[in-house]
Amino acid sequence: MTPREEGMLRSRIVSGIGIALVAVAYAGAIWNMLRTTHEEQWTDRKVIRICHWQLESGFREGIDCAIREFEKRFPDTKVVQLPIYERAYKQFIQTQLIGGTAPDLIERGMDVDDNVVPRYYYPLTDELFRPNAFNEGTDLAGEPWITTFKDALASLIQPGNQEYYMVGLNNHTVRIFYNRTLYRRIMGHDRLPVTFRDLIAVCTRVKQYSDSLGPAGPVFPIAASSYQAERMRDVFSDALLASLLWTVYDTRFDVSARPTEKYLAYVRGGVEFTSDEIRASEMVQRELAAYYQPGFMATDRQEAGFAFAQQRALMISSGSWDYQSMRLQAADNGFEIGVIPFPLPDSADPAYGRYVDGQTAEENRTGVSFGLSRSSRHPDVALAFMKFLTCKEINEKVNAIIGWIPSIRNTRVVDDMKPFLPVSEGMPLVWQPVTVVGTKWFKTGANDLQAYWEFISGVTTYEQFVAAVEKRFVVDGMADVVRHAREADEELLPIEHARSALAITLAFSADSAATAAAAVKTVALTSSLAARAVDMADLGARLHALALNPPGERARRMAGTAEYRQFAEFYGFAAE
Amino acid sequence: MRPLLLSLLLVQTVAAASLDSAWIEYRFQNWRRADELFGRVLRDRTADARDRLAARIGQALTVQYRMPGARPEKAAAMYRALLGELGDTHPLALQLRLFLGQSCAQMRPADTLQAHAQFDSVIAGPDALLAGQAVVDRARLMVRTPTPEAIAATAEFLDRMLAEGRGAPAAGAMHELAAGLAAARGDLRAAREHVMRELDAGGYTQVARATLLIQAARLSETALRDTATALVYYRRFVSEVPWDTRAYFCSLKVKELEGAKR
Repeated sequence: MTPREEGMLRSRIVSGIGIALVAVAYAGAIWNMLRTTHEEQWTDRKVIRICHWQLESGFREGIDCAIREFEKRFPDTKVVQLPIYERAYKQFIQTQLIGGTAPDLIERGMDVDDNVVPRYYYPLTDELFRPNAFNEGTDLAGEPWITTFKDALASLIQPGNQEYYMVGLNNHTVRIFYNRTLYRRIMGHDRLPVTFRDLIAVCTRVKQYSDSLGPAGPVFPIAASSYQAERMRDVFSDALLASLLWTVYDTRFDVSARPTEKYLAYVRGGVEFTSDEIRASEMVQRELAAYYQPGFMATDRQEAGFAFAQQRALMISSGSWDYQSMRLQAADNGFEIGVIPFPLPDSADPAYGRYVDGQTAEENRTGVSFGLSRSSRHPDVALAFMKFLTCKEINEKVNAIIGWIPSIRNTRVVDDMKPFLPVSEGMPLVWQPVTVVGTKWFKTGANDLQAYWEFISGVTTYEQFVAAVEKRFVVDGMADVVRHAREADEELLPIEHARSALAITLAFSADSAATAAAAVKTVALTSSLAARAVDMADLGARLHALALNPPGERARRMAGTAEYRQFAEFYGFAAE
Repeated sequence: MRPLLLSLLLVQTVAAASLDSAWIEYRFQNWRRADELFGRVLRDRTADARDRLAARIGQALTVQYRMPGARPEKAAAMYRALLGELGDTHPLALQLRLFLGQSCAQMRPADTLQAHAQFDSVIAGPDALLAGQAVVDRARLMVRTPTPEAIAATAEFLDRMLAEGRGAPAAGAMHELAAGLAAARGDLRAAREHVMRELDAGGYTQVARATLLIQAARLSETALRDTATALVYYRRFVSEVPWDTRAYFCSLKVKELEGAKR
């Protein structure tokens, strides 16, 4: 055989192996697909599928446990769990929803925009106001399903038409995780920081330790990314600014701050970003950020997590959803983790003490929520499984396996999760920085964030940060207000549409129970429309009054902007 | 004969089934499918007059609420045609007038005169639930450009409707509007009165209840210096909506006001 023939033979063998591998992989995929299809379709049982993106440790096992118990009680059913990787989730679900082949139960939050939810999901409102039969024999027996949730599902109402489309499995909070093993090694004791000054003392000690390691280092006090830095800003700022809610912003007497109320307060001169109180709320962040790893603004959450897992940082802030995964990861890497609440400044703090309003209250917000897809072939079974997952006994059991906090009242919480229990004894929340009229996706939000990274990383001073924010605040804030007004206006049509559907039931249905329920809902939707009209009128009247009689330079500038003219046109003031 | 009757009955059932499906699609905002199904009912020669009327209303509603692409002007013309055919004594005439008024209010710019005229007919009619919606929809339209004059006129209108007991099922919604408008005019005593009466009227969500309770308390305490009433509503907040993040604030207020009383 010539060298040329030998080469060709080798090449053919390699190609043959490649083709064989592809064929085996293809056959495996076909086999897997056929097996799954066979399990789901070639059965007399009613098959439903539950789809989610929770790949954290324990979640699938928890759901499997519920499935086993459900199938034991209802032998004619089969529940298939479909975990999907987070990055592919949205695309997968959207395609399936549009194609009418979506799983029966879908984890919500990364699926479709709120305004098209009524198109793809069954409303659960009527069911929620009836008792969950799986609670029979418990202290929750006979209670409407909705009030068995710790937050009465307050956070899950669909603003567009005041219906509920999902129920959730658990509650989550955010805390500081620390490497207990490393902490002992560096600090020489187990005393944990309670106040902000204690935390700074720990961070300072970590820096000294890191410097002493030389080339073996560094170890950073806190692993952070832009995501974590934003969350820390909310926690620490709110502790110092909560009183603004009832002293400055509260034009509606409800101890909350709508984004537009923040703008109104600024324009009428009721709030100064240079005030000692607001300055302190941002300086506390800057002091803390000096201990984050360098370049944290350009770091993503996963990278920050790796730094902690690889023991390159002593602490990290994260949520209860991550605890079990992080605990196992830490054990694999030979260390233990602990959890502490955020050590906030106390009243004795020399720099911030006099501005401290206290810990803010944490919501019992229901999380990891599922909707019932309209394309479900067995909606009755899917609804039953939803109720099963959120009855007292099963919700407690599933969450004990996952290591999360149950969403249902009067349930036991596993010891690991006790440090994460929401703190209800706290001040109301401001929610977003006072320098933002909305969120970071609004104009003021983007402008604020850009200036903020430079400020907390020490590039600019607080005065420079405020100057950068204020340079565009009157104009961008007005643009954001216009956006809020337009979005609020767009929410009206879905509510009116929902009311029109009820009118049809009232006009044509012979079912007295259905018409009675429709009458109650009609009144609720009419109230919702009235509340929105009040919000809109209040905002319009207040801004219009400021523009007509400006109390100062800011209001004068606002009245002269093109954005205000858009606002006046939107409200019809221009024609007045 | 019997097979013929049976087949007629079955055809009738098909039309009714199409109509039921059409309403389901309408509720799910599946506009194209709903429109197709309403059209199928209308093309079905065996569909009865009631089904045909329902299908025509369905088509008008689909035109009015299609998102995106709502055409309230076209819907208004469809309602007018239906009203012209049915006359004012038809049992659905008031509902159609309400739909017509709503479509006039949804136009940009709104056809205010027409909308007010339709809402007023419904308010004067015997159906309290329709009248309540018409009162609220008229008030919403009146205050869309919230000048001081518009706010005063809307507040006066709502007070009159409430005093006359018009649209009683929607009294809570009227109080909601009236409270907000009273606050905007600086009449905080009237604002609190409306908030308290809305709480009595019911018909709101859990979240709205929390807001009403704290508004009654805050208006009493800070604007009217009526600590006794404030205490009542702070206490109610703590017991009725303990899951709200403002509950602890209210409990501190209860302690503070109870301490001041002693």
